Amino acid sequence: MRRTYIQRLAGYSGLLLIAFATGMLLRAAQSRGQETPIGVELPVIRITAQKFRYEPEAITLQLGQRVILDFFSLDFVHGFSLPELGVRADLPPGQHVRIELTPAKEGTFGFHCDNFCGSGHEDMAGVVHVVGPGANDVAQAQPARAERAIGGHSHSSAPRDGMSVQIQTPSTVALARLQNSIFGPRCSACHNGTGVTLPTSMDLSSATATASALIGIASSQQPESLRVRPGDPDKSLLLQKLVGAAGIPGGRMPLGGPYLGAEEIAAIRSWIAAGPELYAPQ
Amino acid sequence: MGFDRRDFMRMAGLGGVVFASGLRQAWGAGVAKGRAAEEFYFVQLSDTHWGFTGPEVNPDAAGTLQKAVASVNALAVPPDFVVFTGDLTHTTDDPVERRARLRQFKEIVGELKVKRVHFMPGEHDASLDRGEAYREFFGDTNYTFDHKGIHFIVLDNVSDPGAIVGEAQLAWLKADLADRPKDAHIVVLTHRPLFDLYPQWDWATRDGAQVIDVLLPYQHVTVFYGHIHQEHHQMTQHIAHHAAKSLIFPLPPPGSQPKRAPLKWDANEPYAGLGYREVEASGKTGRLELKEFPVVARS
Repeated sequence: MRRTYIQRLAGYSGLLLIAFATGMLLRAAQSRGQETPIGVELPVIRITAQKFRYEPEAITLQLGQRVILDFFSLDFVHGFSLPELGVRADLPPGQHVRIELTPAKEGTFGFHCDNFCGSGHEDMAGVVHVVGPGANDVAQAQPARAERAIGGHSHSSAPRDGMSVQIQTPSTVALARLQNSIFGPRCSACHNGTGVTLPTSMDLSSATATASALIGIASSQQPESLRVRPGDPDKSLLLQKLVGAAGIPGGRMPLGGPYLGAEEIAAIRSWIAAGPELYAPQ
Repeated sequence: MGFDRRDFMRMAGLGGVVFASGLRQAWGAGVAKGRAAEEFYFVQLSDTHWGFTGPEVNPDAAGTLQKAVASVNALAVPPDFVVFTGDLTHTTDDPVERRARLRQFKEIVGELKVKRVHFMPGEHDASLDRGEAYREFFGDTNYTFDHKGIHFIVLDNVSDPGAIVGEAQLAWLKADLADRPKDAHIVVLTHRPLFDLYPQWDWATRDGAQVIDVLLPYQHVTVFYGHIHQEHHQMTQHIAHHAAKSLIFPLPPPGSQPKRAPLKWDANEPYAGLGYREVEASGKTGRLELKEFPVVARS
């Protein structure tokens, strides 16, 4: 009866989708009032929000190209306000908030956090460049299958004028499972939070501690890298350390082995890639 | 003598509001003589951001508030009251430090030689704890008071970090106004602009349009606010909105530069862009006259 981590994670992806439509200026006549058909691939732009910045801070969109902005806040109910395109949403931490939109005018438009989040709030801003046909510098967008609600309770209403906002309530079990099966038994003997230098300065002894120690946190050994970069396993130092990638600071983890099996590493990879389960510690 | 009326800049359509800048003499210097019983003046101070540090924008951040207090205390005739329109303190994530700043601010402004001081929070004071610490020191974040024929309404558009007045407060506002005559003299005091001044910089109140809708049936409504760290005057139909200067650093005019970064301190013109406002009011006619003053008098 033991399910693999992948199977478990697949089960956890039954995310609640709460979709609501917002009247707005953005629209594209060809897609107005239409739901994106299942299976149609839309470019997805992942944007992380944390005190006091968005990453990336500059986004380039193609005029008339329907896209999904996939936000993930790490630490606060930040806001995303793009007033000139009539877009705003709350970004609760630990949840993917997806804004589907079709830019209908060219230009450079500022966005900012409009939920006061602290001493750097006024600096938490970025820009959207909407470029016309022929421009080939559309960056950051990778095609991805538009996710649909899978099971669970969902509520949605038809998008109006080409934009919808979806908040995916995260599964709250994945990190807890990983904690109980990997981080706790395999890592927390050394990473127990009792010291001031590695390994004991890192605390992986509980799901809450693990989330705080890893997600969006710069490595102390290699400060330009995040231990876990939500949505991007290959750029997450945690994964590089677990697979023993070339050039990692320190040694492969767990130090001295035995190392994690392929299935366990795949589970952590899926967890980082999926994103929404990252934050929730229970 | 009072100020020279030729110096006034009258704004068409302001519904009895007059404002002026750059006059040499404050009302406090002598307009008390001959004033009718309903006439008075009050002082608006705003955005003091006690606890802010940033030598490049204000090397005297720890001393500017005291200078403003001294300037008000030096007025020949004290105002009937002083109102602080929010951002009394600069934000901090630390609840202990937040309270320390509120306490220090309260001590400093306790030196004001006026009978009455009215306060309200800005987002820096209240948004991170929904006004909890603020209320410990200053009480309610929204309230009303009446003074010599004018009804003052203090609105809180900052305790919700999303800059939302909220349904409960809107209901409270409607109830407060319900029995008032449509020609009542009403002054609204708040922190953020109630209209969309420049939403790209978050210079707005998310449900401000609903507040304005509630106020529109009343013929004499004027709003004084802060938040944008500069003088600004705008009408929404017959309602006038007046933003006050800051007492810590000025911000650029809306949209004048890519980011809303504070303007740099100019050693050749220290305290430039900082100041306070006097409002001469008549509860009989509803007339309001505004004058702007630098935080420290220039020789």
